Amino acid sequence: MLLIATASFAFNADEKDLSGQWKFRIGDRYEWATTGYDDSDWDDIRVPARWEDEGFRGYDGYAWYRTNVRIGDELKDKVVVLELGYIDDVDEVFVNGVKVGQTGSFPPNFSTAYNALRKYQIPSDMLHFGEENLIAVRVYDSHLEGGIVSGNVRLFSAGVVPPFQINMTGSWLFNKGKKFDPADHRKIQVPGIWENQGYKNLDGHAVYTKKIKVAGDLASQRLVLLAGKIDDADMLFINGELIAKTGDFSGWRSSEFYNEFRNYFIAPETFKAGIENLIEVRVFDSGNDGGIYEGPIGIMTQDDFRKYWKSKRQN
Amino acid sequence: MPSKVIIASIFFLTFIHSIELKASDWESLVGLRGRWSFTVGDDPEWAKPGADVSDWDAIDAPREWEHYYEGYNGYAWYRKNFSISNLPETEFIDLFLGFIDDVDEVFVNGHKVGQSGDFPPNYKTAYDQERHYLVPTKILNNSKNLIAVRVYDEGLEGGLVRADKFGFYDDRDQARMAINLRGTWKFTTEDFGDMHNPRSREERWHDIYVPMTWESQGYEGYDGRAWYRKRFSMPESLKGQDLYLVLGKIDDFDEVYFNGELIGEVHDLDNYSRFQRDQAWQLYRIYKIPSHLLRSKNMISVEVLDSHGEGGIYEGPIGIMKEKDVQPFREKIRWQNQDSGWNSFFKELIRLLD
Repeated sequence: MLLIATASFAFNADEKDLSGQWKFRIGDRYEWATTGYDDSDWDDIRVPARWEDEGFRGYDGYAWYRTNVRIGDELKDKVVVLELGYIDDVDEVFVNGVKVGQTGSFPPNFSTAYNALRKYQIPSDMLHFGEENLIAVRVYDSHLEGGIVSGNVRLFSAGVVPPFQINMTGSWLFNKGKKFDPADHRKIQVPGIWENQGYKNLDGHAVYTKKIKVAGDLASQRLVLLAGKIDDADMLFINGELIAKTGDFSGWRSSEFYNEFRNYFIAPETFKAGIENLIEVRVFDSGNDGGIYEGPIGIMTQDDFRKYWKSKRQN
Repeated sequence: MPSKVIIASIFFLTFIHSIELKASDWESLVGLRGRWSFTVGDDPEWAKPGADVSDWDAIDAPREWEHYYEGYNGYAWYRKNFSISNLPETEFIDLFLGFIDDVDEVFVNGHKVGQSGDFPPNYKTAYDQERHYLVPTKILNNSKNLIAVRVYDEGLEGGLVRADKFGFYDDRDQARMAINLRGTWKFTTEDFGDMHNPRSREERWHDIYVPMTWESQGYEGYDGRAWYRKRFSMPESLKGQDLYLVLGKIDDFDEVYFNGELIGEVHDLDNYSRFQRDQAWQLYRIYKIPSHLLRSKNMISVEVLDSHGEGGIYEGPIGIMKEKDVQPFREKIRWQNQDSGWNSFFKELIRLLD
C-alpha cells in the first residue's frame, strides 16, 4: 500500500524555509545535539545537497548538521512539523537537544531509508516561541552520496494543536508479534512507519506500548484517545482490556481503513490513578508500509474533544 | 481493487432489491429531514429529554457527517424535537432512518426503541441495513417529543448518511384489518417440542416485534428455523364470519397453525424451476381460517425457515381480515406487483425460460 501521510499537511500559511547554509561537521558525538555546544568553527554547508558536492567527496560515515531558527508566536498552539526532505541513509533529529525522531537504523543493525521523506512532528513543549531554536541532525551514510540530499527543508504548521491532557507523540515501545512482549521490545518513534525505524520488511502483527500515569481527576472523566492513522488495522487495549478496534485482522477488508483517524472513547475509571497504565496498540499490516504513521496521538477529555471538533467544522 | 468493485456492485444490487420489497402503503406522520442537533462524543445522558444540548452544533440529516466534520470517525449523537398531530390509534408506528454508518441506537422520549449493529468493544457494522424500528405509541404525545440517535462509525463515511423514507410512518394497509396483530409476538429459535400446541406455554420464549426482520432485533446473522406465537381474543361480532389471516411477507418459508392446526404453508418445492425458487420472500401470505377453529381465545403459531440473509415475518400488514376486505386487498397487491418494473421483467424472464 502507498503511504499517503501528507493529506492533512496539504496547505499551510505558517511556513519557514530552512534551506540554505547550515553548520556541518563529519564525525559523531552526542554533545553536538546540545544547545550549549559552540559550532562556530564548523564548516558551512548548503542544504539540501549531497555532501560529496560540498567539499566532502568520497566521504562515507557519520556527520552532523546544525542550524538555528527563530520560531515566532504565530506557531504557538499549532502542530509544528519539521520536514527535512530526503536523507541518505539514516538520520536522527534533535530540537533544542531533545530527540524528536529517527528514520532508518544506524550500525550495527544498519538499514537505509534513503528514499523516505522525512517529516517530524515537534511536540510544542520542546519549542521556544519568539526565540532561537536549535535543530541538530545526525546522519550516517554507508556509501555513495550522503547527507540531507534533496526535497523541501522547512518548518510548517499542520493545523491547530489538539488540546491534549496527555500528548503521546514521541517514544513508544515496540515488539513484533500479536501481544506485548515485556522481554523483547525496542524504542520506536510515534508517529512514523516502522519500515523506516529498523523493521524494513516487517508485515503482519506488531504491538506498540506506552505506560502512562493518569491523575485521578482525569481518570474519572470521559476521555478520548486519539491514535492517529494506522496502517492497516489495529486494536486498542488498556491494562489488558479491549477498548475498540478498527479494520479487520484478516481478509481483504484489512486495509480498508489505513487512511482513517482513530478516535477511541475511554469510559470513566478505565485508567487507574496512581499506577502505570499500560496502553497497547496491536497492529496488523497486510503489506508494505505499516504502523502508527500519522498523528495526532494523545489523550484529551471528551469535553475538549467536542470543542476541538466543533472548531474544525466546515460548511 | 477489482474485488472491491465486485463486492460494491453486489451491495448495490441488494440495495435495489430492498427498495423494491418495501412496497407497503406508508403514510408519513412526521418527516425528520432537515436540521438536527449534533455533537461528537458519547454520553448516555444525551438520550434523555432533559439533557443540556445548548453547546451542540446543528447539521442537516440525512447526509454523511464528513460534509461538516471532515475525517471524523467514532461516536456522535443526533437529536431532534418533533410533534405528531395525527397520532393513529395503533400499538406501534414505524420509524425509518435510512442507512446509518455503522452502528446506531435510537431513543424516543428517553426510551430505547432499537439498535442495529454492535458498539465497541465487540463492534459490528450494520451500514448496509435500512433502519426500520417500531415505536410504541404509548411513549409518544402530540406536542413535544424527542428522538435521539447514538451513532458509532468505524471509518470512511459516517452518520445518518442517506434515506428514502426518513421519519415516522403508519402502514395504511393495517387499517384494513378487523383484528390488528401487529406488535409484540413470542419468538424462539429453539425447538422445545410441542411448538404448535396451544396448551404448551411460552415461558422460555422471547418477545419480538412483528413485522420486522429478526436480524434487526438481536438475531444478527441467524439463518435456519424459528417459531413465532401470538395469542389473541376473538370479539363475538366476528364469530361465524369467513376470516383470513394476513401475515404480510415472510423470509423465506413458513408453516402457519391456528389453534394447533395447519392452515397454510409456503415451501420451496423441488419441482419448481430454478427461476421460481428463492422467490417465496416476495409473496404475501393470506390464509383462510377454517371457521371450526375459531374460539374466544386463539393462538397463531408460525414456523419460519430462513435459508440465507434477512429472516422472519418482515413486512406487514399483519392481522385478521374479513372476506369482503380480502378481495380489494388482493387487487391492490396485484396492481402493485405489475407496477413494479423489475418484478414484471423477472416474471417475463421466468415465463420465457420455463
